[in-house]
Amino acid sequence: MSLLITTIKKLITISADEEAILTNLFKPLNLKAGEYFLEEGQLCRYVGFIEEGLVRYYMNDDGNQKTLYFNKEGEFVSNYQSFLPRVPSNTSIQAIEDTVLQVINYADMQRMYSDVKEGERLGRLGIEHVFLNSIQQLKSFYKDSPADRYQEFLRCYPDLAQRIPQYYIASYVGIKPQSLSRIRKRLVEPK
Amino acid sequence: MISVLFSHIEEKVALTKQDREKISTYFVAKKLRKKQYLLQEGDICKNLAFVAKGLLRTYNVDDKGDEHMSVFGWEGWWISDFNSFLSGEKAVFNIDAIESSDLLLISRPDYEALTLDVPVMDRYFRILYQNSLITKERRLMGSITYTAEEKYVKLAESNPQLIKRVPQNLIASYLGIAPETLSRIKKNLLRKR
Repeated sequence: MSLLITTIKKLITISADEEAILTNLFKPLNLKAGEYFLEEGQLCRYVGFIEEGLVRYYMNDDGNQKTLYFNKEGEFVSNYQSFLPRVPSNTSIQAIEDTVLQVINYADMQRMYSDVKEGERLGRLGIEHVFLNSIQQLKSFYKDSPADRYQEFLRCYPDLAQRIPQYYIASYVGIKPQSLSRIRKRLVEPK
Repeated sequence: MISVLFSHIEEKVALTKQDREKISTYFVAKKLRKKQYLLQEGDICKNLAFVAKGLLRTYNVDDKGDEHMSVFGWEGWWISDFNSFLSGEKAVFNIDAIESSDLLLISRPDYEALTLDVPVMDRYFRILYQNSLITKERRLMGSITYTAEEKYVKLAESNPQLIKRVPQNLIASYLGIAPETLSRIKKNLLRKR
């Protein structure tokens, strides 16, 4: 069974028929490290589920890439602010490892809502999670120091610190790579 | 009071008579006097509140004691510290009544129970979160790209009623500007007409 179906089954109850419907509605998409799930200016056509791999979200800030967020295997990926209202995306989503996804487009998403009994419930739980993440991200940008943001990153993504290049992590925390290594030194040195 | 809630839900999904009967059992009515708190920072936000009548605000207070407005909620709006409500973490916002208000409250466990009991509510809340996500994004982009005057004009166009009902110092705080700046902007706009 795919990780997608396992994950869906943790959220809602589905019949064997519905499992087949879901498996059909999601299509495979493979990205090599460096390739894009979504580029700025394009319409975000899919919600993806990551079976394997890692992506980062970034925005252009006066020519600098500002890393906003990461998603890894077992998580959904999309820019809902483009996908839902059907407007061009202001964010890019790039694979930073070879990434295996299952993706669903807008029309098939509507079919899922009508053809899967608890499809709406899956949608509500999914969007609630996205909504919560967006509030927490925003709160953290305004309130937390870079050292706090780095520790929060380590807490949420303990296994990612080894997989993500340091300059992406620095950009996510909102500081220069040199400042991040200072923070890291301070964290490992006994007080 | 509950009829306001029903008509709001029915703008987005269809309800049967049976649905309405079930829904009404999950909500508790609450009245707030002007300036009374619904939620204080540091508490756990236990309820999601639907505003049947009145006007409330969500805000936080910084280390210097300055208030920062986050959102307004009036007839037909849901108000809550959603992060605290959904995750169980401590609230970072205060919510209080600008006008005396009639609310319908639903607790976290009842919110889950309601969606299981009346599945169409999953669809209703999904649409609500989607719209809110899109609005949030627009406001964030707006706060970066618009001038103070543009922000005020946008707000006045999209919520003319709000501008009339809310004290001007709160509107200024919502827009992230000083009250004096807001009165200057309003004078300028009058002169342009």
